[in-house]
Amino acid sequence: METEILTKLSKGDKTAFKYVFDMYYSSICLFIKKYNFDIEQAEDIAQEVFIKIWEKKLIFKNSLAFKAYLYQTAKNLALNVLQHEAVKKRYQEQFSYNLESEDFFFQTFIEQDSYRLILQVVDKLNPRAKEVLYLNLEGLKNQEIANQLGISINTVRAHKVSAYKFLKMNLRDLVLLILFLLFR
Amino acid sequence: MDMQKENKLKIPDIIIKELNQETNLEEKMILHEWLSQSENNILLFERLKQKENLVSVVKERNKINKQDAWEKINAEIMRIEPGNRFSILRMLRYAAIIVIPLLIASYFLLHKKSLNSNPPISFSALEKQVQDFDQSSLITSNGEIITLGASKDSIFEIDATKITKGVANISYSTDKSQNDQGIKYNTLVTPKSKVFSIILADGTKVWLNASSAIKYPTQFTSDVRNVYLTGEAFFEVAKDASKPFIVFTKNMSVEALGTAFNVMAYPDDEVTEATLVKGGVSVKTVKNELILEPGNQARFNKITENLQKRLINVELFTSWKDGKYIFEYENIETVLTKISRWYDVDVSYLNNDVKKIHFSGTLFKYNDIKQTLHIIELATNVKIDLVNNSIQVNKK
Repeated sequence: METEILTKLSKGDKTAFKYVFDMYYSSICLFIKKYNFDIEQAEDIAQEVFIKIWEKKLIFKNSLAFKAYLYQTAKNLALNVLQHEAVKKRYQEQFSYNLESEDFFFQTFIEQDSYRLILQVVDKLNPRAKEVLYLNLEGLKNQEIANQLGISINTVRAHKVSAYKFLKMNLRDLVLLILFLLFR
Repeated sequence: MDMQKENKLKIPDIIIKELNQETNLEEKMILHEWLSQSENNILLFERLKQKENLVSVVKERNKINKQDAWEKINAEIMRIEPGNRFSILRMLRYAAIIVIPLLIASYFLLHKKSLNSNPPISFSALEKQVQDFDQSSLITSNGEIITLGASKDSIFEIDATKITKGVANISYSTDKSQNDQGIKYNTLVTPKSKVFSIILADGTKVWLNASSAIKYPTQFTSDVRNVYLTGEAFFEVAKDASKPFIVFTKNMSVEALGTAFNVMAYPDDEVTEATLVKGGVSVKTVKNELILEPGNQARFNKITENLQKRLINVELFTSWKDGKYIFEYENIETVLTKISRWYDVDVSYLNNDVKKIHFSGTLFKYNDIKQTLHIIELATNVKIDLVNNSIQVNKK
């Protein structure tokens, strides 16, 4: 993320804030969800995280520092809500994770932020191609996709080709490519 | 940030590059180090490459309504900052908040000597004073006892410091003509059911809860601001970077430069707690010390001598100064102990099992005690009877 965005963010530029919101909101929600929340609760807490980021207007020296602060704040707010020892203990007994541990934080952070970056690439596809890709990933056949999107089956195939070419350039090793080959 | 943590934070970016076969040597090394640290890391790495997991993540993400979320956030931001234009003052204010914690942290690291001084008072004597007085009282440095709350505003001088007396608070102001004749201490004592507030000579505001006593200097002329507490008090410490403000209780000391925090140290409780609302404090016990950030609490267990830091909801621990107690899943014994101090009643349990029952809710101090007990009865499985000045607790 450009330093320009970070500088603008620290000065209260709302466009910059929306930019980081769009970039991180979903991942922060899913990150928080891992601390034993359902999606609605996770969204509520995630919104608090972003409001806090906006309010504090801290100056970050680079995007790594910003990312660290963002996910740490999410962790802190999540644990704050989970303050009941009883709830935490039950979760720990059930899953043998210590939600407060650094290990859990880094595991969850790496998982969610990696997905964020993977999907960021996918997001760069043109909207139609993206739609086709997602439906394809969900297991729909070409005809089913065509029906759902109201386009011809040839268009579906064309979108798949362009998506495949794009992803091949940007996420070469990703196994999902094999899926394309299977469905050609 | 230490190197280990910084490398771990880089892992997601490195993983993506690895998927693109674009990692350089340094990145490959960081990735391999992380993978070799634990089998979980290897499993995570493999999982990230599986289509099935990607699909389920996408599905989960699709359940999130970003548009709605943005509108909610936007609404809240507009509510907080209606002007919302770039303001230098606002920027400076926030810059100060970041800088001050750094200053406090570095101050504590550099000035450790002041934390170790032993308090020159006896806490047993202080605790006894709480037992001795059934009215809020001020005991001056020369032993004179002034009963508070009885009369309305009156001004009188003691030790060349002007004291302004209201019905439930006292305020000191510094008369600069006073030179140093050795520090003179006054003690403020509250009996059961009375809360008192006081503004010290440096502008620090203290709320003293029931059954408590605080011994404090009438003037802050030395290079430290020491006060001694038994019971519970909430402090809004006036900022003075040159003089640390230290609250000494029997087992724990809390040091700050300028901040807001609560200290609870009742002699009959098993724990002593310091809760930080704003700023930063350093907490010391005989064997341990730690630094608190806002939203943290230091908890010392007298029996295990264990000092623990925990994240809490500060409201639960500081609302008493606003006349209410907020409980979240708190056990009945703790709830009733707090109530007994407020209302000046005793508590006895006819069935020990009820002590394990939990209560959540807000209780207002200025309600009639019967109302308060009734609320607890409605919310839990206990039956409470008020007999003379005694609460009797039983199972329903």
